[in-house]
Formats: sequence, C-alpha cells, structure tokens
Amino acid sequence: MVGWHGAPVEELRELEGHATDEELTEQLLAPLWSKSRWWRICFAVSGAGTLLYLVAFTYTVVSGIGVWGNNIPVAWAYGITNFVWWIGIGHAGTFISAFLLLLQQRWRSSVNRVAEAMTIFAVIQAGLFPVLHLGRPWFAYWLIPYPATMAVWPQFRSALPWDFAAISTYFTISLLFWYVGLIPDLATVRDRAPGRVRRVVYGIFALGWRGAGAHWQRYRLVYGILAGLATPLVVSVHSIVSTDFAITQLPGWHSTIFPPYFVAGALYSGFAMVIMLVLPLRAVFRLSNVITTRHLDSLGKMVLAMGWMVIYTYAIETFFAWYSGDPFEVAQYLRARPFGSYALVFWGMVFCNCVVPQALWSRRVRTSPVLLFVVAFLVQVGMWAERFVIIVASLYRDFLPSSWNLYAPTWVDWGLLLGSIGFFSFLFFLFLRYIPFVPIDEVKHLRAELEPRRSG
Amino acid sequence: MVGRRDFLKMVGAGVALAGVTGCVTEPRRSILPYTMRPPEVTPGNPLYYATTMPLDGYGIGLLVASREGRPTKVEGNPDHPASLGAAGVYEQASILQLYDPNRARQLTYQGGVRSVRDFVRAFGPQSTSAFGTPGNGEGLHLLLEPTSSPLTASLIARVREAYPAAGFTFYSPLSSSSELDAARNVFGRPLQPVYDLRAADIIVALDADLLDEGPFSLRYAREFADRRRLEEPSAGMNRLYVAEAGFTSTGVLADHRLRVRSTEVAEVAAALLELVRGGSVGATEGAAPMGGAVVGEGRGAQWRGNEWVRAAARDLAAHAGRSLIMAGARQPPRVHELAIALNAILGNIGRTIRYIDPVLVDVGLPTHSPVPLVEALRAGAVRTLVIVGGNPVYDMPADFEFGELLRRVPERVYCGLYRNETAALCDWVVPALHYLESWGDVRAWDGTASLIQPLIYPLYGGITIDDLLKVFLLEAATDAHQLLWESWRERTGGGDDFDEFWKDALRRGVIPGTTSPEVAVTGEGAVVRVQSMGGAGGEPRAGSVGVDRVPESGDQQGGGGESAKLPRGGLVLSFRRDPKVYDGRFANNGWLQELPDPVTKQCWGNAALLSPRTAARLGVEDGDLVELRYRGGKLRLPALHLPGHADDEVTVSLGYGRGGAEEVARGVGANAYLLRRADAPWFGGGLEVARVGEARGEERVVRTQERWTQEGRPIALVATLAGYRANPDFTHEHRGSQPSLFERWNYSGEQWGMTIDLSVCTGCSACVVACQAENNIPVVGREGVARGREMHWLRIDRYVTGDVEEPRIVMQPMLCQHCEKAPCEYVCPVNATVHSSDGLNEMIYNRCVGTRFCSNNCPYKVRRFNWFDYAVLRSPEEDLQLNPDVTVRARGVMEKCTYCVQRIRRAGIRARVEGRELGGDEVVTACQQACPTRAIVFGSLGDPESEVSRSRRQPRLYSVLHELGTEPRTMYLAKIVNEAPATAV
Repeated sequence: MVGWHGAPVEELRELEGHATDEELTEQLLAPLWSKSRWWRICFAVSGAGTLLYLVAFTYTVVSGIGVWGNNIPVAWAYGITNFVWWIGIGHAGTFISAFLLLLQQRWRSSVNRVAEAMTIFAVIQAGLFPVLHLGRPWFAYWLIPYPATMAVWPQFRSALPWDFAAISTYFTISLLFWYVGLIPDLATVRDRAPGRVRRVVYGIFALGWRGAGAHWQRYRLVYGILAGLATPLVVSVHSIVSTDFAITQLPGWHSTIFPPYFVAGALYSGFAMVIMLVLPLRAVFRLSNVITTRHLDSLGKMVLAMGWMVIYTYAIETFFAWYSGDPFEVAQYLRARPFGSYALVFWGMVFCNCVVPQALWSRRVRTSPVLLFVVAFLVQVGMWAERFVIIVASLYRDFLPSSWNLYAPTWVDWGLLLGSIGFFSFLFFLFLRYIPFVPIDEVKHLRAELEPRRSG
Repeated sequence: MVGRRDFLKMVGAGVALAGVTGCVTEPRRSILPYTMRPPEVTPGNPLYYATTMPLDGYGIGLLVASREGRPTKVEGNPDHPASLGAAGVYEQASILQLYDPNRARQLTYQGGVRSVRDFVRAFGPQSTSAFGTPGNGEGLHLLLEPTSSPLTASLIARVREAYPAAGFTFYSPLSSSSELDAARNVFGRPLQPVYDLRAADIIVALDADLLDEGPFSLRYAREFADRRRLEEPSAGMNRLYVAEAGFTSTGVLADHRLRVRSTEVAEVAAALLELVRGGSVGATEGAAPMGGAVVGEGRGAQWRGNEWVRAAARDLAAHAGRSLIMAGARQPPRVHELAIALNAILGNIGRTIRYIDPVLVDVGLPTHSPVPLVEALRAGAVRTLVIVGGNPVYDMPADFEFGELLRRVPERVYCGLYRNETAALCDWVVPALHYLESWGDVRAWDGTASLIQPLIYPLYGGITIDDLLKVFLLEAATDAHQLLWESWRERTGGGDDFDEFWKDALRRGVIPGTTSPEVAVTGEGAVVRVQSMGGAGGEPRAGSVGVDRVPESGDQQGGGGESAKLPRGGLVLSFRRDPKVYDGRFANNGWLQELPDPVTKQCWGNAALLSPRTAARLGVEDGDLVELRYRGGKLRLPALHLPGHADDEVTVSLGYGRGGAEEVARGVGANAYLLRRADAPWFGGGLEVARVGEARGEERVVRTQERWTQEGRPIALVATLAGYRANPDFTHEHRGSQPSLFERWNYSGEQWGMTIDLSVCTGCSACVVACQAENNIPVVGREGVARGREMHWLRIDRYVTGDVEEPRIVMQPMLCQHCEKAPCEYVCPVNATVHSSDGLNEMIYNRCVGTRFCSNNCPYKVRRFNWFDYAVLRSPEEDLQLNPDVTVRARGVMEKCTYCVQRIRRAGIRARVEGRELGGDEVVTACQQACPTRAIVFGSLGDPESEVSRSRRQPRLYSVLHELGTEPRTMYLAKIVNEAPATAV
C-alpha cells in the first residue's frame, strides 16, 4: 500500500500474529483466572471511590439539595453536568457495537464488548443523577406514566419524561445487546472454568449454549435485530437529552443545533473514554495482537472526526448568536462565556476540545498508545467542561441582571463526580475480572475471515 | 361569667402557656376548651383588632389579624392618620418579634429567678430600696424611651410628685432635637411641623428621608405619591428636590438629586435661602426686597451657582405657598432654621406645613438629653437607675462610656424585651411586654391618640412601663387594662357615654378629636414674629423681612472642636438609621436581617458606604475590608461602592455588631456606635479610612443583587414627563400581543392581574416583609443568602440609570408575573405548576418533585426552592406566627408568589356564601396592602372598571421581557421623572 506522499505505508491489520483459535481463547480467558495484584489495588481504589459516592449520595438524600452548591438562578450545576457527561460517554459503546456492526466494520470486533460494558456502566451512573438531583427523589416515579391513584399523568410537553423514556430504553437495549453478545463466551468460560462453582454460575448465564448451528443462526438474528434497535438510539437518546435544554428559552440553551451538537459531543467523549479504557487493558493484558494499531488508528480517526463536528457546532452557535443581534444571546455567547466568571472553564474547554485533538491528524499520534491516551483524557475533561459551561454559564447570567449570581461547588458536588467515576470503575473492574472483555468468538471469526486473504 | 375579651386571652394562653416559665402579673385562670366559643369567632377565620405600634414614642395605627387568639399578621389601619392603611417594614416585622424565642422570659435578680412580688417588694410601697426613705427620690433616676403616651405621662407626673428629687431622662439614639431647637430659636418655643404634601407642588428635602424615615413617613409617602400618579400624560406631577449624602428611598424618587456631603447641606440651604430671598431667580411678582441679615460670602457663593440650587430656587419662587422645604433630623438646628425661613418667605406656613405643640412627653426640656444623666452618673449622684426599654449600654455615644458609668450605680434595674448588653450589666432584669401583648396608649406625630390593646395573653410574662411606674407609686397594684380605662375615663370626664367611647376607640383604633390643633405662627393670632412675604393669593407686604435672625454659617451641631472647621479634603463619617434594624432594636429579627437594604441590597450586616470616586482615591475595592479611624475610635468592616453617594463621606448604618443573648443578632455586622460621639451624633469630620485587605468569611458583604445596571436591557423603563407627554406611546414595543405556538386561553369571570407603578415605588420593602409574613416564607440565614438561596417571593430590583457620577435609581418590585404563556408550566414533568381558569399560575406543592426545571425556564427568576427543611429550622414559638391559610412547604419543593391565592379563594368563598359576584377590587394582596405609596394595584381584569383595569389603560404600561411572549399578568407603569424645564439662569 502506498501512502499519498509516495512512500510505502505499512498496512494496519485488525489481527496481528499467527495464533491459533486455541491460543486466542487461552489468551483472552487468561485475565479471568489470574490473581493480579494490580487488579486488587485498582479495585480497592475504585471501592473507596464508590464509598465516597455512597456517602455523598446518602448525605444529599437525607439533608437536601442544599448540601450542593446550587442556588437560584443556577438551579442545575454539577448534578446535570455529570448526567449529560455520563450519558454522552455511553454513546460510543453503542456506536461501536451496533452502528459499526451494521456498517460491517471489522475493527469493532475486539473492542465492542468493552465499549458496550462501558455504555451500561455509564448509563447506570447517568441514570442515578436525575433521580438524585430531585428535591424529593422518593417521588421520582411520578415521571413514569403509570395509572396513578391521583389520576395525574406526567406532563408530556416537558423533556424530562422524554429523558426517562429514552434512558430506560437505552439501558434496556444496551443491556440485552451486550448480554446476548456475551452468551457464546460465557459458554466458553463455562467449559473451561477450573472450579465447579464457576462452571455452574457461568452455566446458568450461558443459557445452555452448545455452539450448534441453530444456536448460531438464532444468535446472529437476535444480535442483528438488537443492533438495528440500538443504532437509532445512538442518535435519539442524546438528542432527547439535549432537548432538556433546547426546549427552554434561556439564551445558551435555546438553540436548534443542540440535538446533533450533543450527539456529536457524545460520540466525541465516548470514543475518548473507549480509548482510555482500552489502551491500559491492551498494555496490561498484552493484547496488542487482538487490539492492534489498526484499532488505535480507527478510534483516533473517530475522535478527530467527532471533534470537528463539535468545532463546527461551537462556531455555528456563536455565529448565530452574533448574527441574530439578540442582546441576550450576544451577551451570553460573546461576553459571559469567554470573559465572564467562568472564562477559565470556557477557554479550557476550547483548548481541550478544539486544539488538542488536532494532534490526531498525525498517524504517529493516533498509533501511539501514550499520546492517544493523553489526547483522550483531555477530550474527556474538555467535554465535561463543555457541559458545565452550557449549563452553568447560561444560568448564572440570564435575562434580568438582578438575578445574576455565581455558583461554586461544594465537597458533595466533587464527591459525587469523583465518586461516580469511582463507581463506574468499580463496576468496570468487576467486569474485567469475571467476564471475557474481548469477545472470543468474534475474534476467532475475524481470524477465520482474515486468514484466507493472507495466505493468498 | 367570663367576658369575651378575657376568654380570648385565655384561649391564646392555652396555646402559649407552654412557653411561660416565669411569673405572670395576673393570677392564673383555668383553660376552657373551644366548644363554647364566643359568637364572633369562627375557627379558621381571622378577626382583626385595632392597636397601635409605638416606635420611639410615636404611634402607628394597625389592624392585626388574630387567629384563634393569636396574632399572625399586621396590616395598617386605614383610619389612623399615621398609617392610612399602610404598614412599613418595622410594623410588619414586629409580629415576629412578639414570638421571638430569645425574648427575656424570667424576672431575675443577679441571675436568680424572682417573682414580680419580689420586685414590688424591692421598689414598691414597703420597699427597703436606697431611695425608699425619706421618699423624695434622691438618687433615683429613670432612663426611659421617649413616649407620647397620655397614660405614661400621667404616671410620670405622679411619680414626680411622689419623688420630687427623682431624675428622668428620655433617650433614643435616633432622636434629634434639631427641629425643636430650631423652632424654639425662631418661634420662641419648641414646635413640631406637620406637612401636607398633598398641597405641595415643589418639595425640597435637605437630608430628609421623608418618605421612609420618621413617625409620619407612611403618610407622607402616600400624600407624595398621590400627587405623582399621573393617570394620564396631561396630569400634573409634583417635583422633588433632594440634597443628601447617602442614597435614601426619598432620593430614589427625587426628580433632581444633589449629591452633597452632610456637612455641606447647611451651605446649600443658605444658598437656597439667599437665592429665594434675593429674588434673582424670578420670585413672585411684586415681592418686596429683603432686609435683615445677609448670609456670609465665601462657600455660599459656590452653591449659589450650582444648577440644582438655582433650579430649586426657581421652582420654589414660582410655587410660593404651594411648596415645602424640609430639613432632616440629622442636620443641626441651623439648617432647620433656614428651612423655616424659606417656608416663611414662600408663604408655605399654614398651607403645606403647620406647626403643633410637640407631642412627646417632656420634649424640649433637658430631660430629652442624656447629658444631665451622664453628669449625674459621673458625679456618683445616682444610687438607683431604672432603665426601661432601649439599650443604652449599646447605643449611647461612645464617649459617655455608659457601660462603665452604669457599673458604678449600686442598684440597677432593666426592663426590656431582651437580655441585651444593658441587661447584662443590671441587677434586676424585668421582662417587658411587647406592644402586641400590652394595654396602653400612644399618640401619633400629629397628636392623634389611640389605644394599644393586646392581641394575646403575655407569652413570657412581663410588664409594661406603666406597670413599672405604678410599682414606684406607693399604691396598690392594678392591672394595666384597669389603669388605662381609668385614665381615659378621667381624661374624658367620665359620663354615661364613656363605655360607648371606649368601645369605639378600641374598635376603630383612633380616638377622635385628639389631633393636635395648629399653632398659628403667621397672620392673625400668630405666636411668633415670623411674617410671610407674598405667596398664593397673599398681598405682598412692603418692607417685610423673612426671618429676624439668620443663622451664621460654619458651626456644626452642638458646636465644638475640630470637626466644626472641616477641611475640604477631609473625610466625613456619617451615621444613619438602618432601614432594617432601625437603631439595633430589631437586630434579632430574622426577617429584617434577611431583608435586603433597599439601595445596597446588603443583608445580614452593614458596610462602609462610599462613592466609587472616593473609593478609587483611597484604593478601596468593592467588598474590601477597611478600618475606619475616627476621633480615637476604630472600626473594621467591609466597604461598598455606592453610586450616587457623596464624595469624601463614608456612611455606616447603626444597629449592628450586637452582643447580648439575642442569637440571631449576635456578631452580625459592625457596631458603629463605638465611633459615635455625643457632640456630633450624626456626622463629623476627621475620618481616616485604611484598606485592610479582602473581606473573608463573616466579614464579607452578603448581597441579594450584585449588579447595579440593567446592562443595556430595557427592564425598568424611565422617561421624563416632557418626553412622556411628547411621546405617550414610548413603551409600545413592550406591550401588545406576540405570536405564540400556544393557544389562547378562554377568559370569563375573574381574571387576576397586577400593575406596579414604578413612579411611586421608593423601594422601602414593606411589601417584601408583608409577603414573608403572609406566606410563611422562611429565613435562610447569612450563609444561605451568600449562596443565593434567599426565599423572598417578592424582591425589589434596584437599577441605576443615567450618569455614573450622578445616577438615578429605579426600584422595580419583581414577583411571579403569572404569565399567560408561562415558560415554567410546560417544562414541569409532573404537572406541579399549572394555570387556573382565573389567570393564576398555580404551584402545587405536594406534586412537586423538585427538578427545578421551572426555575431554569423562568426568565424573571422569581421561583424559589426549598434547599433544606426550612420549616424544621423555625422555633416552636415562631410557628405561632404562621398563617394557617398557607401551606408550609417541605424540603425539595418549589414555591413562588401566588397572588395571595389564599386571600382570593377566601374572598371567593365569602362572595359565594353571600350569593354575589366577587368585586374587581375586593381582594387585596399582602404586598398591595402594606405599600405606603400604593404602588401595587391588584384586582380582576374581568371587571373593566376595577382599579387594575383602569391602570391598564395608561399609555406608559409595559411588560418586562415582553419580546419573550410570556404575556405576564403583572405589568408595570414606567417611571416618569418630572425634570425641571431648563431655562436661562
């Protein structure tokens, strides 16, 4: 293959090396049997993070939202920022598993389970925040349309019942999709597990899979249908979450570009999160033959592409604010955000989201695990900052200057953010320990696909 | 057989007896259940009783709502001349003070609990006290608050008879003798002015906050506003000139405001007098030239060229007999004399101003000065000091060192509401009764007498001043009601119709025929030598003079020292009454501490206020901690830039930095009394300001509104009268229908709406406190407000417009706009905020889950959220004040103004029961009722002749943020400013 500047370029392959099926299986099951000290340490740390989360969560429910930093006008701050950030992160998982499946992109094979697990755990984090940020979370079920004795239904013109529908759907589909994809591998584990207890437990979850032709046929069918159902969710869920803001008339929120803006941003931060999870795994478990530089390259390209969509939306939003001449919009986009009290966060966001990913134009950066990780981390930070800017900067300076007020987070706000990361990690480390995180069956299928070509 | 009044008292006691641990003055009676209720009482319906609130000796008539024997809400008494139906900030908040859990509850002697009998034994007929024998009262001194009470006056007279050598002093930190001294100098005897602002076209206020400060301010505010309402563009408007250093509520409504140092107001007044007398600004035609003394040259010349002074003089001369010049109590007598001279020359006396004999007991006598007492204390001549009310250890001028002097007195008695700084130094501490628990009488500023009747049996025991004076009289004890009844019986000569008279006095809250008669100072029968010069309809008298004695320039109040000769570049320190805690007596009132200052919007503390220019010169940033060094004293507090404040002057509110047992008040703000000197109690030169650093923690300024301007947005519209007449439709972009995706509502029946007239809103914030009292709004505390969580449903937004150096302030009450196309309604996920068929945006507390989405979508940000369980934070005593018609909100629930829906529904039920329609003006919201200027108008838009419907026909009507299409039911009338036409000078 010749690169565009004339010199030959090494072709990146989805699978490296000449391992046999048996060797691949052994390699990919190894993490489940090992008694890794690193895992224990990381798990303990994430356990501590989960504990912090629990404390902050309980304190909030018992004492009231007053233990956060929220006020009037900034009635939403860290709570909803975290919610949108986590939901956004989840989208990349579905994109990789479902979207790329339908597009028959081979490189999705080894990373899709990690991505999908990430989605589920991210959605769990995200789903807790809208309940927690309620003044009376014990009545959160009133957002669900059930036939209540009070004969009152939710108010459907509001975006929050839509959120509930979207997120519950998303979680259900993602969970099913991930689980169905797991079944052949759970059977593999069941067949090779050392102890009887493990064989039984995995056996139950493997649902009696024997690898028969009929099983594979049904598997492919269901997997395909679920992929088809999950794919539109990539676009719809975060579009609905964006309507939490877009249906209002607050300058900074009241913008029709929000649905595609948020979806692009979601994929942006989601792919960055996949990178952040996959690269350490690849290094620690020595999986560079199944998670190859091709994967890194593809992920890097996705991040860059999504980054440019985000840059476009920033530009378009700001342009239209200026073009509209509306004094409130101009004040928000051209004064409050870049020069107001949160200017540091704003410019940090611009740097992390717009400047940093330009490094990904370089193939060297895209295929270097360390540099790619750093870029991904900064994108994550930048995307959190973006949600913060959208929510807090728009609220703290709105229409009447008499109600302008600053927001400052408390330790509970920080505890919930860091704690949710801790809880996410906690679930993720459990996942690593007990479930083959690289899909063994898919990798073996991929090997089968690639083999004839190489020998030919 | 138990009388009705006693029955109610007992039932009230049934609720409150839990708190009574001390003794009561009356024998205990049995409690009866409510099954045999008095016929006029229906549980659930409020009863209104008339009473009067005494403040610094003058009374403001009130109607207090009583629920099953306990008072819950204060309203003004429309029949009382000092109220006219309005109730200001102090009156509204006084109800919370009644239930204050920090009130003194037990009578103690040196810390040990005693009974009233012990006290009577110590000071009454068989007393062994230091002054008991030989009985002429040598060494006995009573330090009282100023009073106008006829009952107290008679008791004082009898105590004086019994103890001729006893000393009396009447002291209040905010009282000033300037007005009376000036009258004595000019008229030969102390006289008190009563203004009639309805008759005044031009008003000049020289450091006088007539609209918000003083015992008649509620009335003056109404009279002033009545001449300013501008029903249509061609209507007339009065014009107000204000010269002041700080920014007061009167300054807010000024058409022309002169930013001048307190020390220079005298020069301004002198220049004004000179110009009016000299006739160089077009005085009344045919006026005779002036004779008499001439004001000295020098500084006066500078002010004579000042545009404000010239314009004021022009206007005054053109409206002789229909104008009014007044000087503030802070200014020295000289300025008041100049004001009298001006009024005399212009023929205003007898028209816009009349003089009456002073209303307070002993006024004009040395007993109204603390100096004789202080000298007696220094000489050790006081053996028994009885302090009733007030807090002299805290609020006497610092150079008296009153606390030290008090310690040396062998026997010290304090009778007051709280165990404050003064009580801490006294042996005997006797709890006082709150006025809402007392029998008594008091007179208003114009002399009108009214009764004080209790709304509840004493909560914590205690006695009134009349009870205490009775103890000193060597007579058998009688109860307060009996005392009062007998005193009025005597005063009216008894007779058969006394019963009728008594009942009528109690019912109406005013005793007819007690208004002080005018003391003629001009024309026939004048008691003084002042003669007027021309005036409306008057013949100019040749050779007449203005005033015989024209004051000299250059001397300060009380004369004295370096402060008198003020160098031009020096800083002046100025003290002011605090618009919230008064002189400090209300510092323990959570409502008042949390109420934002009308102009600075600061709460829970005070600050050193100074102009931005002076601050820049001193290197003091907004919010910095500064140290004030003044005549040997030092005070540290934060500084605030106040646009419109005079240069080279620093104003500090009195009433903060309290100690004592009052938990709410303790440690809030800095105690300015520590710098106050007796010879210059209001302002003086020689101040140094040093920046200490940034204010942190408890010293930070906490404000509800940080921004001063409207940021170029048309929110509070202001126009000149000339501009309005030329272009009446100038608000047309801010009203009218807007395109909308939502359907129009179908209207029929009552449709509630509110119009707020910005032309007459002074920002006094009585409406804010009234709303808090009516709607059970919690106090969140200093930290809560610092975080931006104050709960006021109604707030007053304060914007500056115009020149940065000489700004105008416009006050805009902002509350739920009850938008017909409400942005909050469509974003609530659970239908907790919906629209009623009569136009209200309704908040359903028990459905709210607290997503706060509605707050985000409200462009006016009038919604409030219960971040914590604020209800639990109230003490059980304060719970007694709660309005049972209004839900007490739980944690996690949104709340906002409901247009007092409880009042609307109550009126609707009453109308239905009576089988009639609800009148368009029948429902009065709490804010509307409290407002002294009647800036708020509420009623049904469904009735085309209701007041609110008529207000909607004014061309200067507009909606805030109209372009958002919310179609609010709360609309505003733009502020019109009556600027003087510029003419060649």
